[in-house]
Amino acid sequence: MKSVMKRPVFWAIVGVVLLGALVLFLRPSASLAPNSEAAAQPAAVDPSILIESAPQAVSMVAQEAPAQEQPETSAPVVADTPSSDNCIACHTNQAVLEQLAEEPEEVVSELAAGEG
Amino acid sequence: MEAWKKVFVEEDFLDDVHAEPGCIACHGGQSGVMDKVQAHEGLLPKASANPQQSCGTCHVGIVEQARDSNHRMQLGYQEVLEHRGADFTMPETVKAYTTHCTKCHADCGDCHVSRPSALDGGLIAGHQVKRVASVFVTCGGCHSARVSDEYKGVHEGIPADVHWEKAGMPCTQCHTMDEYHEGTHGTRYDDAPSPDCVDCHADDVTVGGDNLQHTIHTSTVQCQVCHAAGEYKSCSNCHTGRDDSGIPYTTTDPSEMTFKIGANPLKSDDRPWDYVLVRHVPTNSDLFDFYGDNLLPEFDNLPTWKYTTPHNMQRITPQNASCNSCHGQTDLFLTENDVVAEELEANRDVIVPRVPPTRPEQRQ
Repeated sequence: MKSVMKRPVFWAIVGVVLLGALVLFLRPSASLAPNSEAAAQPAAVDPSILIESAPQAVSMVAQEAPAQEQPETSAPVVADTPSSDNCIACHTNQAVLEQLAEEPEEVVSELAAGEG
Repeated sequence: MEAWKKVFVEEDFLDDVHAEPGCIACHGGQSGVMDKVQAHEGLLPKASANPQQSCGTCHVGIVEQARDSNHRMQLGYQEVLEHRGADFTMPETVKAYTTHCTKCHADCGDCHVSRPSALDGGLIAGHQVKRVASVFVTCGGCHSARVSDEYKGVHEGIPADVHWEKAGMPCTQCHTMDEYHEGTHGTRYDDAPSPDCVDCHADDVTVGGDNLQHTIHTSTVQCQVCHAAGEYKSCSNCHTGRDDSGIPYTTTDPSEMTFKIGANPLKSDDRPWDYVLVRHVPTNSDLFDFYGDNLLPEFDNLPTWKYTTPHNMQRITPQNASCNSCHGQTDLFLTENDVVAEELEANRDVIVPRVPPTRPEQRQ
């Protein structure tokens, strides 16, 4: 046994084994980190689950309450509404309106009579 | 009003909070195009026709309150027609009603932004959103013949209402915001009088007070019987139909100025009087006959001479000048002679059975 321990090859093998053991020891702890991240991943996915469930919540409200009872703020309207510059350009211009505005044709039956 | 003025937007309006959403948010239409036809594609001229999507996005509560208001829903019309037997599950009735009876319907913008369609519409003041509607343009635009004209003294020989003539009181001084927006009752006479004369004149109208006539008559005679300054408008004989081209039409006989004291058809603790003023309304049993047979099968359930509250009040009037200015004056009272034969049954409850007799001279 002493003769074996004196052989450099033995110590080389021991070194390799110890190094392997160290690597094996360290690998699990290194692999935990990704696992933690992996565990966090579902948490990061959770919002998507919420996003999926959110429309259901909205649709339930819509089903339970008539659409007209859902108060809406004007903010989204402002944000989503396209520019009205063209409307304003004409409807604040008297000269343009005098040229373009037309009285809608009123159709009145010849049989109509009285004040009602 | 000229056509251009009806759609002219004052630049001041652009600084108003109501302009912040932008025209298209409420009215639809197309952005970025200057051609009139293209720009107006998808246009909703009366934005408040869909109030929850326009006014109601900010004014949530009041739009919700006004959703069933009489001005918007005309529940009073439907109620009296139902009393006369109208069945609104019948397509013929619905067709007749929606074709001829809904022109007075008013959404938010009809009072606060535009002139009534009865005056051919158009913006009141360059799209200014008026918190309080214009008294004569808006209120008077619809309530013209039977209220505004009386109140202003338009009818020849009959003075204006003292509340206008001397005090300059606008409609809104007596009629509250809730009256315009609430729809809790079917017709304006279903609940207690509102406004009630005694809301302001309680001190003058006391039994045992300074005014002997009030002591004698307050519990038996509606205020207007003594204080209406003269005749007011009655209408009659309304018919509906469509001509050969399919255009709907309405016909009525020429209106008449009448003053008639009838028996109170709405007697209650709130309206205890024996005598009230009545006026003839433009209805008759064959009103909807163009659309179907016998669509008002219980027409006689309601009178055609109806309880009314003329808006031509004065303190001194021809009928309250003396006892016998009213007592014994058969012409002032609704008798069988005033009612056409086919309406006698409907008016049985309002025809005065016996005109109060002349008082002895010494009692005057």
